Order: sequence, then C-alpha cells, then structure tokens
Amino acid sequence: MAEHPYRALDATHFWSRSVAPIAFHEMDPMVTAPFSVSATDRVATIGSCFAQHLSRFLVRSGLHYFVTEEGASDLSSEERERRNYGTFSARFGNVYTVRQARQLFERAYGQWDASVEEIWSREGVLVDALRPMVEPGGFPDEEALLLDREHHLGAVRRLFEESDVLVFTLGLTEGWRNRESGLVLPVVPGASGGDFSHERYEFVNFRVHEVIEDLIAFIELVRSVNPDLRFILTVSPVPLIATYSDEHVLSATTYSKSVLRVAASEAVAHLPMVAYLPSYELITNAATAGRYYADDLRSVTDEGVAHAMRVFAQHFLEGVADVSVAEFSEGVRREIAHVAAIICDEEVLES
Amino acid sequence: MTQRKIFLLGNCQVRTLADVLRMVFPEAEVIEIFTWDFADEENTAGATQYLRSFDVQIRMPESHCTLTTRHIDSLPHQRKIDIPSITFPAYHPDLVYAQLPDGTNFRSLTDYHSAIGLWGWRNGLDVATTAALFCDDVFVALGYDRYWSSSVSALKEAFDASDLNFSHAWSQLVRLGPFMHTVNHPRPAALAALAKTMLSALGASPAELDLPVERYLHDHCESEVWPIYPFVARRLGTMGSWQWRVHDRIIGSVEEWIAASFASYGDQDPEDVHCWRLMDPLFGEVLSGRLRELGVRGIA
Repeated sequence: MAEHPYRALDATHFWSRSVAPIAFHEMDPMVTAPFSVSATDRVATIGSCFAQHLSRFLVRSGLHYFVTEEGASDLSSEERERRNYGTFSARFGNVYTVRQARQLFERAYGQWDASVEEIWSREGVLVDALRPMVEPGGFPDEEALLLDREHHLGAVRRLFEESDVLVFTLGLTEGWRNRESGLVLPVVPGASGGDFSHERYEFVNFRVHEVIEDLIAFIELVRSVNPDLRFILTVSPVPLIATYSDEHVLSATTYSKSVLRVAASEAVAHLPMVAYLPSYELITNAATAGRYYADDLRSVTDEGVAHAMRVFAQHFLEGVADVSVAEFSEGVRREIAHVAAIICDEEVLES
Repeated sequence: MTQRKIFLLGNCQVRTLADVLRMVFPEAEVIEIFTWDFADEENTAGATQYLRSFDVQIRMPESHCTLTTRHIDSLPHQRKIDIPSITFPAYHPDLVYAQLPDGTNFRSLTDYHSAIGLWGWRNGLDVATTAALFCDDVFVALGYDRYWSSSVSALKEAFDASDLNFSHAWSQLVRLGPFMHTVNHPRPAALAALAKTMLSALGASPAELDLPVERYLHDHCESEVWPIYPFVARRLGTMGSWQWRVHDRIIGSVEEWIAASFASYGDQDPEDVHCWRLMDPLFGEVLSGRLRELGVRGIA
C-alpha cells in the first residue's frame, strides 16, 4: 500500500471516523486546547447573547467567574439579575460586533471624546445608547447616567487588567453606526430608545478583513494592559434575528458567521494564547439535525448549551479528567448480556 | 431474491423484522417464531420438521428455548443468517430486571424495575424517601451519564458476533435520537435500521433497501415506555421526562411510579428478589450516603 501523509494522521482528521459514526451529543471537534483554566483563574465573559450561557455555566461550575461591576451590596439577587449585574463580567450588555469590543476598550481608556457617546430618551427616562438594555428602568437624569457610565468604564478597565481568561463570543457582523462619531451601536436607534434617522445613522456589515483587523487589534489592545491574558474565542450559533442587508436572512447569517469564524481562526493563527472553542460547530453540525435549536430554529436549547460547556470543561478545565467509561464498561456489558438473555414474561403470556 | 420461505427466530423484536421482510419481499413466505414458542421437546420436534422446508433461517443468539442451534443447524439446504437483537441501556440506565429464586422474572407493574426504587423497597424505605433518592447527585455518582460508550461497544460486539454489519446499522441508528422505549425494546425506526442491515445481508437490491419501510411499521414494542430521566437526557442532548407508560396507563411522576411499584410488590419477601445491579457495592454506598444527607437513619 502506497504511503502518503494522511496515513499518519489520527481519527480526528477523518470525517468517516470522527463525524459520521458519532452520536451528535458525543461530538467533540476540539482537538487540543493551547492552555488550561484553573479554579482560581479569574474568567471574564464578553460578547453576544450566547455568551450569557457561558456566564451562567461559570457560576454553576464553581469557577471564578470574574465580575467587576456587581452593583450595590444591598441589592437583592433578583434585582441584581433584573438590572444585568453579572449577566456579563461588566454591565456592557451584548457586544455583538468585534468593532464594538474594540471601541469599548478605546472608550474605557479615554481614546474617545466622551461627548460623542450618545444618551437616548425612552419613555420618559434616559438610557445609555451604547448599552441601552442594561438598566431596564433607565436613568432619571443625565447626571445619574454619566455617573453610572463612569463607574462602568472603570469596571471595564479593571476587567481588562485583572482577568486571567477572557471568553469572547463573536456574534454579528451587522450593526448601526453613528455617521459622525463612528461609534457602533448594539441596537438600531428607535428599538430600545433614541430616534432613528438615516442622516444620523448608517447600516454597516463588516467585511472579513475589517473583522480580522478589529479582532487582532482588540486582543493586542487588551494585552497592552494585561500581557498574560488568555483568550478563548467562540462564535455564537444563534442566527441573525433580522438582516438589513439585501440578502435573505439565512444567507446573511451564513455570511456573518463565516466571517466571524474566519476571524477567530486568524486570531488563533497569529497570536499566542488564543484558543477557539468550537461551540458553533457543536450546535450547527449536520449530525444534530437542528436538535439543539428550539422551535424557532434560532434559540439554542439547554441541551446544546450543556454540550458546549461539557466540551469546554473537558478541554480547558484543570482537574477534569477524561470521563472514564472503562469503569462502567464491564458492568454494563455484563448487564446487557443478562438482559439480552431474558425472555419477556409478558411476551410469553401474550403468545 | 430467490428465497421463497424465510423464518426468523428470536425475541419480540423479530415481529417487526418479519413485517419488514413481508413488505420488501411480498412474494416470500415469512414467519416469525419466538423463543417461548418451544417450551417442550414435542413442540420442538414438530417445529424442526416443519422448518425443514424453509430456505432461509434468521436467528438471534438469545434463543434460550428447546429449539436450539443444535436442532436448526441440522436443517439442510438453508441459508443461515445470525442477527443481533438491540439491547441499549444508555437511555435508561436505571431500568433493571430482577429475578425470583425459581429464575422467573420478578414482576410488578411490568418486568422492568427502577434500580433505585428496588433498592429503596429492599431496604424498607417509604415512597417519599425512595423518591428523594432520584436526584442529579445520585445519578452522577451512579454513573447514569456514562452508559453511552459502553452501550455502543456492547451493541457493536453483538453485531460483530452476527452476520450483520455494525457500521451500516449504526449510521442509521445514531441519527434517530432516542431510539429505545426501554433497554431492550427499540422503537420501530431502530428496528427498521436493523432490518435494512439484515436485508443487505440477504442481498436486497438498492431499490429495496431504499424503501422507507419505517413509515409503515406497527410498533410492537410500545407496551412499556420508560422515561429518559432529565439528567440523562441533558447528557444525551434530548428532552427528558418523568412519565412511565405501562400499557394504557401513564404514570406521571417518580413518586407515583414508586408508590405503584411498592403497591404491586405486595408481600413479596425482598430477600427472595435478586437483581444484578444491586449487587454492585457502589449502589449501596451511593444511596446510603444520600440517605445520610437526607437525615434518614438506620440504613447500613
């Protein structure tokens, strides 16, 4: 038999061995994690709404979920949750685009004139345009909003400087941008406050080279204040809820996720201590046949999230040994042999 | 397809397999015979004579009856195909059988028991305390989330010991989602997968193999449906439940199941009930530990 380079590769390189015969809930496309995460590491999260699942997992798993903006100590847990303290590591809300993340760093470190950061009105109160959903009741006046923003950006700085691991979930390429300032908004003006106008805002769908540049710049910026920070990148498997591009929302989703997936690989290829967690592949691969999506084919089910977190734990967490089936195999085998030999009494009765 | 007369010997699963053969080979005479049909030598002798006229015999290995391979191996001019039965406990790791001293199954509502429930009954626990043992910590400690690989390996061994190709069947089974009603009662689609692999061994044509037989099958194994506990379901990427089906009766909670089981156990002496699973020291350690956490005393 002729030799060729593929002969020396292990099973993970071959679809017929690592995908086709594997039950969807057993799929594990992560080959090697470049670093591990210990129980004492401060792990922070940022990104799109899928990252919230990760935050909840970190809390439940006993890891050190690093939250730098916790709110007043006398807040009840319900109030804390309602006001999005702990939803992410700081109250930046959903950071859907990589450009938003880059601008978040730049704003936190004074690289933007604070006066360009918009304040919107919503049903008689004020909201911060760059995180309009974090305070459901809004702010009573501008002074309160600016004070909270200042506190927030301080928490963001602490997050970037003191975290050991930052999990960044890339969500979208589409967004809306203030034409004058260039700040990218998390949500279209008018949907959660503010007033929309085409003169003031423009739709943007970032191209692949822009997202790559933004992602690498973001990582390097954060490392300029925290050189040892490890990054875990994921791509959200949640499809676009709507597109403002001229494409069908399904094609627009494919474009968006493809660009983000490429950008993640570029960052992994060019920067040290950057890992990719394939949660996108786990949820969307053909073997799942959509089972990890709810009826709307958009929301990821708890089972899907649990699978992604299982892979995360298996590959990144220290002290999580390979889940050994060896200890069970003999007992299960003996029991199967026993069950297989049993004649159903009921069948006999009915025969 | 040249064979005209085919018989299948095995457990309750052969009923569906025979239905598939009748559908795909309508010109053939197909009969299924069950292990329990041959309780004595007289029946066996008559059956052996009758089966001499068949062209193909398809048999499962668990043919524990007087019609042994010694009898049917002696039949001349027959093509013999050994097939496995599908036993797959990964979805239902808590389901066990138990036996009485005479070797018969210990029956309650059905032949099936909850291992945890049976342990509670043998140790004299009441319904509420036994039901309190059904929790994620106990399931983790008992390894209920770790049955998959062993179940797949065991199924592969069963196929490898037969004349059927495991990969062919598994590539279909693995896409079905939960394909078992209980540990040894597959859903029709799973039996269709087994049947198609069997058809392949029988030399069926590509067109015959492509027939969507699963759409036409009766579910002969549906009399009992064991729930996939939510803890196990999460691990297997599917929805879980706490509903048992026993014939036409739906039992909708652990408490209800335990209560109904205990009631049906009646005055049976627990010492006379044997269960392989409960012999594992791990079982007693885990459940006794859980009882201590619950503040229940008096259990070793």
